[in-house]
Parts: sequence; structure tokens; C-alpha cells
Amino acid sequence: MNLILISSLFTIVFSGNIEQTVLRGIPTSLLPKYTLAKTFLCLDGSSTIPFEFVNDDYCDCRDGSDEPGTSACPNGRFFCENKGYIGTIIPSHFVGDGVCDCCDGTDEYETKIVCNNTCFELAQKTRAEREARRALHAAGVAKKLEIISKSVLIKSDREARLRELEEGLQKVEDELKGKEELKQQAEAPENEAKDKHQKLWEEQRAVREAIARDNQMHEMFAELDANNDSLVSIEELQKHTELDSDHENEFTVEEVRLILGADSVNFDEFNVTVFDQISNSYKKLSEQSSETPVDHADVAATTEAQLDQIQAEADEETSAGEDEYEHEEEQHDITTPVATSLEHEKHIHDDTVPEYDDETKKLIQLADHARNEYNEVEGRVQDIKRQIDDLKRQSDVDTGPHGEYSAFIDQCYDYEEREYTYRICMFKDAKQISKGGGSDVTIGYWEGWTGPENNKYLKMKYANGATCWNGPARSLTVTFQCGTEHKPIDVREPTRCEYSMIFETPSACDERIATATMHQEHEEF
Amino acid sequence: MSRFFHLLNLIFILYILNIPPSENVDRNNFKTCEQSAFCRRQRKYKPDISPYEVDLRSMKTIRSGHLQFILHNTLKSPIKFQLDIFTLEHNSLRVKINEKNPIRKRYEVEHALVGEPKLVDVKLTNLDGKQVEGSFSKSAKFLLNAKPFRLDLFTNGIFVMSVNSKNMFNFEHYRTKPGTNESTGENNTEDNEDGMWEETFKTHQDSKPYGPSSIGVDVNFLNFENVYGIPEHADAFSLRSTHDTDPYRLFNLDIFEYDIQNPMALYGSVPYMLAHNEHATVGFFWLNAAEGWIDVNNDKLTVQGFFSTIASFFSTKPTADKNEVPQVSTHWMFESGIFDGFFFLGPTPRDIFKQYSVITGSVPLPPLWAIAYHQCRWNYNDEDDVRSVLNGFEKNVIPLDVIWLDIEHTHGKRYFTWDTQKFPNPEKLQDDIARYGRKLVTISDPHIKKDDAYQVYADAKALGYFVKTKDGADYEGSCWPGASMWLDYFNPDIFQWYSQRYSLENYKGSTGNLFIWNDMNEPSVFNGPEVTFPKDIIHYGGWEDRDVHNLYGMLQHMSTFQGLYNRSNGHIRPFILTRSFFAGSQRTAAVWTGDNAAQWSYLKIATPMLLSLSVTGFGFSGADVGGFFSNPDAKLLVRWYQAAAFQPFYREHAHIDTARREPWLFGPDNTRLIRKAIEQRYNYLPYWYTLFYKQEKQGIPPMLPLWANFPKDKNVFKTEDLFMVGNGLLVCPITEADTNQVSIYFPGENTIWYDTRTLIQYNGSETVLINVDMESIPVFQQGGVIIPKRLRRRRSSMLALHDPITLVVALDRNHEAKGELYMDDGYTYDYKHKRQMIYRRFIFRNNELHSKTLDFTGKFETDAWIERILIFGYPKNPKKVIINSGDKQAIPLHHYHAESQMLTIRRPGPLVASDWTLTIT
Repeated sequence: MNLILISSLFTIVFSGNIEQTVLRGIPTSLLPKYTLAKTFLCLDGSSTIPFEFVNDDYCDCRDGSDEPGTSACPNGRFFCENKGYIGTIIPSHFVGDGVCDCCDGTDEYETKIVCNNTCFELAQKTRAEREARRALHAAGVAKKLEIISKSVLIKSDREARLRELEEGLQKVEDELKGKEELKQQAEAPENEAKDKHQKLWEEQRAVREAIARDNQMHEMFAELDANNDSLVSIEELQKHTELDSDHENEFTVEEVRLILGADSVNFDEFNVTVFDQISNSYKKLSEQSSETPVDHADVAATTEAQLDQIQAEADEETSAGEDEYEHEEEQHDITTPVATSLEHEKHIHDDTVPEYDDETKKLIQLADHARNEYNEVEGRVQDIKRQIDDLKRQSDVDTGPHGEYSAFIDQCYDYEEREYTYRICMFKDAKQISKGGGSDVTIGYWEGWTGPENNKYLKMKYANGATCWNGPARSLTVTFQCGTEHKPIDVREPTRCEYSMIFETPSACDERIATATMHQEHEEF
Repeated sequence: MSRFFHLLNLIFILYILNIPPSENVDRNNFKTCEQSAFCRRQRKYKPDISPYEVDLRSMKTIRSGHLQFILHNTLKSPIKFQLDIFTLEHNSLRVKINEKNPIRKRYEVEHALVGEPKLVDVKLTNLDGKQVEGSFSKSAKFLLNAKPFRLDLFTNGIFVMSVNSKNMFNFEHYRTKPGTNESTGENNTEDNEDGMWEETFKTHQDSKPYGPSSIGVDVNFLNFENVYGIPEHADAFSLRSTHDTDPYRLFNLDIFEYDIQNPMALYGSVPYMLAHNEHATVGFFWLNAAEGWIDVNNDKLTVQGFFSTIASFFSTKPTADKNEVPQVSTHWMFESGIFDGFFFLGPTPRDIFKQYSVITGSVPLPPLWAIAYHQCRWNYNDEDDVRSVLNGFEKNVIPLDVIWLDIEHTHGKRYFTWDTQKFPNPEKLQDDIARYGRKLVTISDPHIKKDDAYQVYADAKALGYFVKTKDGADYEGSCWPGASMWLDYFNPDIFQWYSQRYSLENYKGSTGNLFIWNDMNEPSVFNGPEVTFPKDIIHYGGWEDRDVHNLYGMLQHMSTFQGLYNRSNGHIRPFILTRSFFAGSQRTAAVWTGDNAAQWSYLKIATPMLLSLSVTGFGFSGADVGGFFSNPDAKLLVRWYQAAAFQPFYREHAHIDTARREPWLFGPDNTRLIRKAIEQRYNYLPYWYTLFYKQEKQGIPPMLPLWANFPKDKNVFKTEDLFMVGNGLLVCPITEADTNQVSIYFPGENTIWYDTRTLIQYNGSETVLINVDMESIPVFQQGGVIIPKRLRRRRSSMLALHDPITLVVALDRNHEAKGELYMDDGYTYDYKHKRQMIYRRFIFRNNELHSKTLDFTGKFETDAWIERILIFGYPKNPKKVIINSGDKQAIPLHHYHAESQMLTIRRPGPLVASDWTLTIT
């Protein structure tokens, strides 16, 4: 409520029973504005009030300046003199609330509670703390300067090394070119010899296969031609029900004729039109009759789908029980009959390429040598390139205006907590490593320095870590403070998935604090 | 940093509840009426003629005010019922109907009532063999019709309620299971309906060993169009017709991410409904703790047959051509127990609040700090975190009274323990918090982690204190700590034992500055049917959960209350917040509306939800500021702080997955706005505290629907976007993002309303477009009301205890106003036991403002004084103001602001405790 009060409005000032200490709560520097007079001008100039209204426990000025010594104004400011310590300004709503806020207890002049004067102890404590702080910063600054000077050396070293490597790279790349030529020269005759060998072997194999087919065909024809009339007739073939493609019905005459293409075929016709049709399914009659006469008369009826099912069941049982072998055997019993001829064929194809002749072997040996030499040089090229990249990356990292943070390059630090280890690899990433097993969680990748404008190197951020379930990507903010060693001293998660780390390092120590003299400190008390 | 475990928890819950993460509640996890066998049976029970008849010859007068009759079902003659009618003081009637000779005793609710209701004489007339009429108390009358059974109720001669006028009274007696040896064989098919002896929901089987036992009854409110109450539902204040939906359900459940605008059950149940029209306010309370469903229908009563003979009793005469009056017919269905109905006959809103509070008790005066601002979060991680939040309040000059710790503060969700890594020195922490008069609240849930190394578990296990399965084993379920068990508070020994866990000796690390939050006490059982206890588990006395379910949460917080009460030997007022509740919970705990969400619609629904709680006895209630789930934007958060500053329980709370949202994290301007909202709360605390005192005394809740103050203004019977604080403040929460104007109807005839922001005056019965900015929500002070405030700033309410008072006198059209101020030490029972309190009445009349005591025995010592008097609507600049107090006289300065018609009296100076008169000439 902003009242514009004009003193003439008031006839008599209510003579309250509150003992006024008119100048209570006013800092020395402002005392001239409160000189005893008829009126008081609110410090913000907003209004003029009778001087009796100053510290009369009623708020008249918009800026609270008429009540520095009472709690009447919500925005008033009370000055604690704090003899023996530093004079401090506290909000005037701390006045008379039963809490001792000034070390001299002057804010509680009216309440029943007794405030001990703690200014002397506070001054001592503060002095000790400041000294400790100064000493810490001094020790830290010494280390920081080492880091900075090292950083200069490291930087020039790095540059020299870079130049050296780049020169070296040129040489090695030239060498690589030479090796590549040698490699190509050695590989040309090697390939020629190998091709030749391969071709020869393939021809031999084709002959072998043709003979095998012929033998099988003769054998089959002889067996089919039961009456030895050099013809295979419909009746003769019809016995082989395993050849019935629709399995379910009878193997009819029509179906057999369809296979033979005639009522009977001689050997040549058999060779051209029939053999390839039946060779995969064909089985000797003797083999068929030796089987247990179960009523799924033809084994060929066991379709692939059924086999798959049996296989799956077997697998299931196997994984449940432990009698794997038994099941495997059963499986063979079922599959063997259909696989006979297939196996034969497989045998032919399985034939491995025979050993190379000595001449080819020699050529290979020479080529291998050339390749090895090439690979060795190429490895060196990659290695140098990697070193160059590393150095370039290092020199690209912002390690502060003077390289204060250069000691962090390629360093990782751990913070141990009850459930996790937090590992920060500077300028790279940060991880949460579970102590109870379980996989590591990346909580962020290096993003940059994020301190306030006047102190950019106070904080750094790692962002875009693993995404939280139903939430944002994890991130970590590191806040640096002065310490004599590099170490994280606290990790928290104030909001889910947003981590914050406090990190002590000499790099964050401040020369100004380190060099503050005791004389300056005294002045403040 | 227990994220991982938390994640597991969440995944677990989602797995259990089968909830897709981004959706709201999965309704499939909770029963519909159709899926609850008894509801299915009762809802379709609609005979043309009721088979129930009262044998009037059986009437016995047990004692004065207690009549007893035999009631029977003419279709099932062997089954007899006993009908007891109790005429009670304060225009109240109790009617009990139970089986006369049940094969198994039926459960009668304990713990809910504040005591044995007091009987009053009844004058019986009209004993013609067809009906009995009884007049009792001030202006109440009942009429009991024999054939069929029907009960009609009258207040001041007006016909207001009728029971069984729709023939839906249907009492399922206990019976033997058909096919068993003992079964009589009668009505076998009828006794073996689907779901009578067993029912299954999802994978859960309810064994139902005692068969059907439900009761249905229709209660009809004649000539009413609006009914209220039966919390807890996230729905309209004036209850909606359930014609096209499920009935409103009463069954304490933990509904994950509950939806709004529907009749689903929530965390608490109060089977109490009010009806209001311009002639009367009445109420019906069915004391029953089983699962309940209530259908609500707005229909018309055709005045013919019997009703035409009593047509003269209707407050509104049926029109000649229509012969119809409006009514709200309601159909109540409970799964077990007895019919135990209380009928409150008003006739005024104030009478109704009093009548209900006489039966179930009123909210006791909370400690002052408990009605100030609370800061909560799941979770403040450790001691440093708590301290840094407290520092944030100092740095940003925002007052605070209470900081809260959620489940993560414990050692693995073992309540009464601390995670000693994060909270190595809890006593020191509490001492530091208490330095500014502040308090700590820790959570204590009812699930007890199954871990032999956990003392509470090991002791309870050894003593056999856990709830049992139907087979007698300890019931085990899953909750935050994993495998858990639940104490059976129904057993007085266990109740006592649990309360003792809160002693300073047993609860290590607690101090007198620590108070308690009982959450998950429906109870929430992650792997239970509908996320709670199976109905066939057994409590003390052999009662199934079916009979007592809705009492469980209340018993926990009652026991907690007992513990905190005993901790100080009954000297210091406890504070407990509970999520689950039942009628009577208000005597020992505050409640909040559970896990709401950071959406405008949830800010909006908070008002009707809190009004429903208020009118059913829960005057100390609130909604999580900002919304529990997900992240509010700054605008929503600010609006929520502004609205909740005027709602009884004021706490910010947030889910663990949400971003931090302490008041200073949204930029300087929003910090300022939030500070302003919270300070507004602190400014009005003397008024709030006075209202809470009146609530204890008279049962009137501080937060009120408009009709409670303007019962004859038909325009406000459905109002739920505005509410009142006492009779002095009309509050309009802003519940939409971009609002520049709101249309406000000012209630009452000849009233004046002062916009507290601008002092612009508005007339009652007018609708006005009011401008809105972000600075504040519109709040109006009613002309005629004097409101005490404290305008000084302090860090907490307790540090302002003796600060001076500003009186805001808003004049009505007759240039009169009155108001009260209550003060005491803010935290002990000395106000009761030693009369250490001040209760003043201020009256402004004939240009004089008087301060008189309302309680001559009160003697609280304080040097608090009147520092300022603001008079709104004062017509002219007076010459002189004189104040007389005893033999002293003073002439304080004054200032008149003509444009806003505000007269300011500067430093009038008298002590609050003294009598004085201010004269303006």
C-alpha cells in the first residue's frame, strides 16, 4: 500500500509507547541523510514524511528507508554494526523475529530472547577461514603456474613433434608407394599360376563327376530293369512309390508315364529324360523293404516341413533336457534314406583343391613377402596419421587462456560413490559405472565450457549422454573449484538425469585470493 | 542416485499395471460396475413394487429416541430384518437395517464416528397402522410407510428426502452356498447367480467364501437439482448424472495417472452426499466401508398416488398441468456391511456442516505452520540438497514453513530409518531447519519391507502383526521396497504398537520438529487386484478386506496421529498428511488429491475436487502445486501458486522424473510472481487461522462453495470455477494459459465486492468482465466482512506469530462490517487446555469500530498490536479518528484516498488482546 502522506493531514501524532531509537539500523555511510530535522525525505525521493515517522515501527516510504531499525517495511535494510567484525546489512524483516542474525545481536533488541555477541569469535573464525583459503589458493596457484609453463613447453613440443611427424609421413608415404609397386609386380605371376591350377582342377573334377553319374545310372537302370529286357517299363518303375511326387495318392500309371515320357524307355532314353528326374528321390527296393513296415509306407512322404517340426521339437527337448545325443541319432534315422544320393554328390563337390605345385608355391611365397612389407609400411602411415590427429585434437582443445587446464588433456578421473563410479575423461566423455555389475552408462560427451560470461572456465558440460527411460538424454555439468590436486569431490543428480560434479583443481585457483595481504583483510573488519 | 532402482520400480509398476508410458490411466486395470458382480446385480434391480414391508405392530421403543421394527421381504418370508430408527440432536436421524438372525455377523463400521450420537425425544403421531410419523429435534420429521417400506424426511415441514420410493431397496442376506450340505435348497438358482460365490478380475480370483452380501437402496432428494460430495472423484462439484456412465465408485485405490471428469474411484471414500436448493440443504451419509457404487440421476417426480397426499409439503408446488417436481434420485450399492444411514436435515448450509461434524468430527485446529507454505519433491536427495533448497528460499526472500522428504530418504524404503549416506545427521538437519521455526515432514508408508534384518519387520513378523491371507498365512505383496507386508491396524494392539514406532526413542533420527506423511495407504499393492488388497484377505476379528477396505488408510493415519500425540505427551498438535481417507479421517489428518499432473485441466479440476472434500468434512485439503507428473511451464506454475495460495493445504510437489521446479528456477520475473503469491498466503494467515479455528468449533470448512454463503442465489449452485475463503474472500483461479479477461458473477443481492487488487467495487447479482494480468488472480473481499492480515514479511509463519495486525474493513451498503480474529501459540494444545488463546470480534457500525472478546476465558499473552486499519468503501474524508482503549485515548493519523474510497488509519496502536473502540467523526 503506497500512501502519499502530507504532514498537514495529521493533527496529532499518536504518541506510541514504543521507545524509539531513531538512528537504529542505519549504516554509517547513510547517517548524514537521517539528520534530525522536521522532515525526512525517503531515500528514493518518493515522499517526505515527518521525522518522527523514522523508525516509528510503521512503514511510510515505498523503499522502506524510513524503517531501517524495525520490521515494519517488507523491503527495509537493517545495519548490524558488529563491532569487532564486519558491519553487515540484513533485510529488516529479520529484526525482532526471535532469530539472532547479527553477531552483535542488535537485530533482536526488542525480543525476549538473548543473543550472545559472537562477533569476536566470528572474526577469528572468518580470519582463519580466509587464511586457509588464501593458503589453499597460494599453493594451488603455484601448481597452476607449473601447469601453465608446462603447457607452453608442451605446446611447442607438440608443434615441433607435429612438424616432425608430418615430414616423416611424407617419407613413409613415398616408401609405401614403392612397396605397392613391388607388391603388384609379385602378385601378377602369382595370380596367373593360381588361375591355371584352379582351371585344371575343375576340368578333372567335371570328368570325375560324369563318370560317377554314368555308373550310378547304369546301376539304377539295371536294378529298374527287373526283367532284363534293356527297357524300363511303367510296371517296373511303378514299384518305386518313393518317386510319387504327390505322396498321398497311389503312384498311378499316368504319373509313372509322365516320368518316363513313354510306356518304356531304353538306356539312352533313360539317360536323357528320366535319370535326372528321379536320381534325388530314387531308392533301391532292397533298402525300402529292410525298413520297419510302419504304415507311412513311403519315407519320402516326410516332407521338409515335417522334418523342420521334428527338428524343432527335438531342439526344444534338448534345451529342456540333456539327452542331446539320443535325439541327434533319431534325427539321422529319419533323414538318412532321403540323403543317400545327395551325400554322394556332396562328396564330389567337397573335393578340396589339391596342393599347388612347387613353382606356384614359390610365386606365392614371393608375393606374400611383398604384401607383408607393404602392410608394415602402411601400418606406419596409419600410426603417424593417428599421432598427427591426436596432436591436432590436443592443440584444438580450449584449455583456458593460458592453458591452465592443459593438464587435463587425455586424463580420466574417478569419483567413487556407494553404487557407482563416475569416470570423467576430460574433453571426451563421462560415464556412470555400476559397482553391482551391469553396463556402463554414458552420461555425456564433451560439449564445451559453460561458466558465466565473466568466468567461462568455471564450468564445463558433457551432454547428449544415454537417454533416460521416458526422459531426456543424460548430461553432466562440472564445476571447478580451487584445490591442490585434480580430483572430483562430489557428484549429484539434482534432477533426474542431470548430473553435477564438483571438481577440485589447482587450475581453478585465483592469484588475487592467493596474494590478498593480511593488511587488506584487516581493513574489512 | 538410485536411478537404476527407481527405473526398475517404474518398469515394474508399468509391467504390473500394463501401462503404456505416455498415456494416462489404463482403465482396464480397474473394475467397471459390470465387472463387479454385486454392482451388476444391484444396478439392474428395479422392481415395480418393493417386496419389503415394515411390521408396524413390531414397534418397540428401546429407549427415548430409539425405535425398533421388524422388516421383511415378502418374497423371502423366513428372512427377517431389524430396522432401528434413532432420532438425534441437531435435526439428524439415523436408520439402521440389519439381518435379524444372520448366519454370519455382518460388519458394522468402527472408528469413523467421533462418538455415540446423542438421542433426542421423538413425538410419534399418525399411528394408523399404515405409517408412523415422528417429529424430533428443532424442525425435523420422518414418515415411515409400512407397505411397502418407505421413509420420507421433512425439514421445517418441507419434504426433502425419500428412501425406497423407487423400490430399489435390496438387501442380500447371508446364505449357505447351494449344493453344500447345509443349504436349504430354497431359491437355488437365484442364490447361484454368476459372481455370487466367486469372481475373477484379470488374473485375480476373489474366493468369496461367504457369498453375496450386498445392499442397494435408493435415496431421492425431492425438489433438488444439485447434489454434491461422495469424494473422492476427479469430477464436477455438482455431481453429474450417471445415466450414461458407470456409477460413482467408492473404493480406495491407487490410480496411476488418474483421469479427470469421470466417476472412477480414487484414493479416499466418504459415502456422504449433500443436496442443496434455495430452501434447504440436506445430507445423507451411509456409514459403510465396503466397495460402493452410487448412481445419480436428475429426473422428475410425478406427484400422484401417495405423493399427492403430501404434495402440500413440497417447497415448490407442482404445477397443475404437469404434476411434477424435479428430483435427484440416487442409487447406493455396497458390497457388504449393513445399512446405517444418517439423514441430516439442515436446513441451512451452516447447520449441515455442524450436523455432519457432530457425527464424524471436525478438523482440529492445525498448527499454524501447517497451513503455511510447504516445499516438497520426490526427492530432496540428501542433507546438502535440503540445505541448498532452504538457502534458495533465503536468497530469494520467499517464506517457507515446511520441507518434505519422500521415500528416497529411507534406507531402501524401510520406514523409520534413514539412508545414512545421504542423511548422516538428521537430528542436526532438523535443528537447523527449526532455527527459523520450520519443520520437516518425512514419509511413512504402510508397506513393511520383507527383510529379517529390518527391525520393524522382524518384530511385527514375530508378533504376528501382518494382515493374513484367507488361508491364514501372512499376506505378501509388492510395493516400493519389493516384497512387503502390511500391518493390521484393526487390531488395537497393533494400532498401539505402530503408534509407538513414532516415539523419539523408536524412530531414530527424529525430533519434535518432524511430522509425518502417510502415502500409499489405500493400500497400494503393485501386484494386487486393482493395485490393492485382495478382498478375501483377513483382518483382525476375522473380517474380510471386503468388509473394511475403505478404513485401512484411515486406521494407519489415526495410529500415526496417536504416535505423534503421545510423543509430546499430548502437548503439541500433530500434523499428518494422508492420501487415503474415510469419513472421520478429518479428525487426525490433512489430505491431498494425490498424483495429479502438470496440466491446466488438473489445475482447474482442483477446485471442484477440493470443494467436494470441503463440504464432506475435509476442510484441510489441497492439490499438489504445479502438478505431480511432468513439467509445468512457468505460466501454469505461477497460476497454480496463485490459486493454491487460497486453498487450505498449500504444498508444491513433483515426481522424481520431473525437472527441478523450486520457485526461483523460472527467471526473475516468475520468481517475483511466485514470491508474491506465497506472500499473499502469509498475509492472509491470521484470517486462515481464524477460519480453521471456526472449523474446529462449528465444522465450517475454510474453503467453501458459493452456495454455502449465498444459499438462496440459484445462479451459484453449480459454480466450481470460483470459491470462497470464509465469507470474506471470493477467489477466481485462472485456469487457462492466455486469459486477459474473465466473466465473474458476483453472488448475493445487495452485496458489494471489492477487487483486492484495485479496490474497484462490484455489485452482487451482476456478471462482470474482469481484466486479468499475471500479477495476481482476481480475489474480491465481500463488503460487510473484516479480515485480519499480517502485512509484514517474515521467513516463516512462526517467526511472525507476534507481529502486528492490519484490519481490512470492507463496508457493506449499510456501512457496516464484522469479522473475527483468533490467535494462539500456533503449535500446542494450550489453547484448549489452558485457554491460552485470543478470540476477538470486530464490528463496524455507525462509524465506530469495536473490538470485543468472543471468549472471556482466553488469555494468550502477546504484544501483537493493531498497526493499521484499512476501511474499504468509506464515503468521505473524515475530520478526525479517535481510539479509546480502557482509560487511554489516542488520535491516530489517517489518510483518505478518495478515488478508491479507502480510509487508512495509521498506527492505531492498541494491543490485539485489548478491548477498544475507534470512532470516526
